[in-house]
Amino acid sequence: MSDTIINLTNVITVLLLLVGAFFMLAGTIGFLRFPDFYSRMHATGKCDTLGEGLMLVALIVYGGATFVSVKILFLILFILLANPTSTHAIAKAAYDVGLEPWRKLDEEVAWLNTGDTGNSDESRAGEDGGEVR
Amino acid sequence: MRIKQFAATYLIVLAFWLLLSAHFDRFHVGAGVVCSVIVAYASHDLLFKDTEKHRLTKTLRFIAYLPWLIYQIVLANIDVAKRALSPSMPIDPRVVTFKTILKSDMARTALANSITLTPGTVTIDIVDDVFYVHAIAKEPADDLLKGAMERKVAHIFMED
Repeated sequence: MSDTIINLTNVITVLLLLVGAFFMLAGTIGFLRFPDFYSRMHATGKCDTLGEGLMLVALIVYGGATFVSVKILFLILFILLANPTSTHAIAKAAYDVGLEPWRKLDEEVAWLNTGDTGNSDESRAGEDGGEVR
Repeated sequence: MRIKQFAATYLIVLAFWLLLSAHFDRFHVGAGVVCSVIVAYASHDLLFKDTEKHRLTKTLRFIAYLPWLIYQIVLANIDVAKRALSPSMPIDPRVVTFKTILKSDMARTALANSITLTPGTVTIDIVDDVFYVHAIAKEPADDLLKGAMERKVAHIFMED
């Protein structure tokens, strides 16, 4: 009976660690792929909160009800408080310096200027009108 | 009133010391008692402000708000992970501004942090009562401007 409980604890621990690691990985990939500073803040600031949180919960499950577990619980609370605050502080610093956020529109305008997009909404509406007449 | 603030801060700090040290011999407890006096004296006016009303109700409402916030954090992570991992990378960043109805610093801080934790939005700046928010795509920005979260926070801090 106690063997089953230990196995179950181990399974839950491993699952939580894996999911946490997945979110950390997704955050890192987002950090590498996203185009500018602000969108990278989304990837790092959010995935870290849940990734670290899940990993710490895994440690609590593994450790059981001890003093160390309570300390880890406080660690989770402080991460929940500190992560958005520091994300905001860094983003504000960039904004104050005058870093312009990247816009998708600019890229589309560039595409239009090179004449590479023949399927914009206006041209399609024009074709439909022509068929009716 | 000052002595009440001091006593409350002292008890919290001392409890935290005992929790973190987890040693209950004479030296560790004694050091905790002495250090807690110093820390509580230095910071008794930070934790509790005696001008604040309905502290208990606010605390209870904030605790009731936490499960929803954690659910939103999970949604935020799935959202960002999806955008980061999908080959087409469906992002369309923009900065939106809105005027807040919240008045106290505490409520505004809570809203700013909640915005940062929820899907697709990061608070950049608060100038007077205007929030500058960076959204990663159109839908999160539209969701934010509907103001559901602002009303929740206003409810917690009794400003609705």
